Amino acid sequence: MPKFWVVFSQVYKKNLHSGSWLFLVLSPLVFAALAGLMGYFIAQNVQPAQVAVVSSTPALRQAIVKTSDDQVHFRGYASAAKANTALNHETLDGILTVTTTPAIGAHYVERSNADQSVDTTTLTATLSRLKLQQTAAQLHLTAGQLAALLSPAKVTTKTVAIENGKQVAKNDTAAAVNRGFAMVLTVFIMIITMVYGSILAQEIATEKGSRIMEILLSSVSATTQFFGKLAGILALLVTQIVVYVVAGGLAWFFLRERDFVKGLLAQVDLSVLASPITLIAVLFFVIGVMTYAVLAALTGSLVSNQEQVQTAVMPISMLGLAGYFLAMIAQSGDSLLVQVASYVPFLNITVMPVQLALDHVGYGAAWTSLVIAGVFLIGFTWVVVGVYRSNVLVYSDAGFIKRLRTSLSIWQAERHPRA
Amino acid sequence: MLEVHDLTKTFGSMTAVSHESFTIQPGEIMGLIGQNGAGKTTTFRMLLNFLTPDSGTIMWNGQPLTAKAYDQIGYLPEERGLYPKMRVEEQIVYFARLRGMKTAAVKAQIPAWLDRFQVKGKRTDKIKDLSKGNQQKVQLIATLIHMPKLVILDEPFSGLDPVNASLLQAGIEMLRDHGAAIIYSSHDMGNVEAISDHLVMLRNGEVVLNGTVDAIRQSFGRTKLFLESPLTKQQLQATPGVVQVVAHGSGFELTLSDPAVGKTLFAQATANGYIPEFRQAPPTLDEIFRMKAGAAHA
Repeated sequence: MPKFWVVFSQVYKKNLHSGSWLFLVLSPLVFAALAGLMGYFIAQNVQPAQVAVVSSTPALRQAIVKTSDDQVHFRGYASAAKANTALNHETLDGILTVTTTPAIGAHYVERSNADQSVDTTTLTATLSRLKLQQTAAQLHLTAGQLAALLSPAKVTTKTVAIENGKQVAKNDTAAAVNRGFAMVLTVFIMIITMVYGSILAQEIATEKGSRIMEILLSSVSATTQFFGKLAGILALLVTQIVVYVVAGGLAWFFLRERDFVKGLLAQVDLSVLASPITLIAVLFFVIGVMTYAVLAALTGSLVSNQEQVQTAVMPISMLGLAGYFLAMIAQSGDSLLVQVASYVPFLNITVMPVQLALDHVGYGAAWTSLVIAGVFLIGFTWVVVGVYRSNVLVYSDAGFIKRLRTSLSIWQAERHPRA
Repeated sequence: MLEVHDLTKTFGSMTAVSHESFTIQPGEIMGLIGQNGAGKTTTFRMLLNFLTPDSGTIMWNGQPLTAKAYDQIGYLPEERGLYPKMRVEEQIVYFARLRGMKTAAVKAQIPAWLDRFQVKGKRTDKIKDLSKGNQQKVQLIATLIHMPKLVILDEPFSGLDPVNASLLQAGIEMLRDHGAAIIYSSHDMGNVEAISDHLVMLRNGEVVLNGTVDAIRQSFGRTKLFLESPLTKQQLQATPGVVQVVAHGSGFELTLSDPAVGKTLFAQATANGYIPEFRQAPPTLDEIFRMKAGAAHA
């Protein structure tokens, strides 16, 4: 078996069995399952509030009883005495006493320990509607006149994006979905790049700190080892995504007939997922993960001993957080800082997809930034592969930047065709 | 056969190795000695292609030593490293596979190797649960199990107790008997004298000694004399050609400027017949090492 695959399978299998990776993959699934179960049981236990309607007018009683829904269940009572007895026996949550003179009004008495409290605004709305009908009848208004009286003034809205100095119409519901999409995307990219960057940085830093690196580099060329590790880490990421897709598929298969899932899906317009934004976001994600992984290999290989392993992870966390905050700033509006950041390597990975999803920039700008990210990744990888090899000889307690400079100077002195 | 020819390496203004040449035949053990900073590790790093020489060549069986030959190399770095969380078997299998061995072949050979080095621990134990000595043995097994043809050991004896040192010595000799060319560095001249066929000493990057242990010692002549006789220290010191007299118990250790002085001293010491000790020998490797290393400061 070529040595690339030996390194690859070692990195992959070792992390697959590690507690931290399993926790990373399984914890969101466990939380989602728990949240789902809790929501399910809460939904099962919610019963409508039992409210007595006390009125001397049977028609009015009937009209109110008809408005019963999931929240409130009205029962008609002709006398207040019977209703109060039921309330004292705690079979009722409250009593709504309705009066008709001079106009429709009501008084609501609720048990302090009611199973289900009633929102008085819904009671007010129900009664207001009845009062409106009564008043309209008294004024001899027709249904058409009543409708004309009640119809509000119309305000229509249209969202436009400015592209090349022209206004281009944008669907505003799509904009809302885009905003949510951008938010989820930012968090997802940040977590994945930082977590996998950290795994790789620790992996390499541990090897460097424990001097295993010297043995490895006398067995396998630095380039083979470097790409074997990178591929192993990316395979872990792919495994995690496959686990989520399978789990999502299973959940969909079993839950799609459930009412609350149907209700949830009906509210979301998923058409944005089929747009070019998704493609660009996925490309940024792939390039982003790889760029951070290469950075992780660099910082990991600069470590001198086990105590410095944490310092290898720090630059990754800092850049990741910077990108995250800039993406947050982008969500609150377009600014020069964000515009610049959306082309800067490491930062553009989170900032540009958000800018695009929010229509702050067009596709042209996004592709440009993507090309910059891709070219940077290739160049960065080339430099890091070289530095990685010379880093094995740099053992120093000096700061990160100083170690990086030493390593770069060795690399420059050592550049030769045998690499 | 490893042929190192006229190797020079500088770091800025510092010359780490200067015009270094030596040859190691298959089945030969070469000891590389020298003080700290003499250029031993730099030499190893150039052999392993971690560093590129400024000039000179490194040939392995007539070819430049490159990544293609990695499977034939066994390398033990000065500072040992294993994956603490890995199990003994996994660790050995991983390193051996990186040297081109098949997993099944490695697993079949592990018991014999654990036995050979008397490792106390099971193959399913985690490395971090082993004692330091046993970790070192596992590291040695991982270095040697693929039966390398070129073995590079950087200070292999450091930190080993005498029992483990002799186990390591036996391991090195076993590989030599299988035709491996072995180069190792050491500070312990006792070990070097015991197992080296050939010796190179570096001082400030330059080769100051190169040859078999015996030839090197003989080249200094029998200038050491261990004597127990009726002669007093004053009498010995008064003899022409005696450079130094040091008392050791009831006898003396003399340093001679010329081995021929031995004959004169023998005649004087045995003038009245029997004496318990008269031994004239070349300086020990340890003394040669001190002499040569000390010359740097002269």
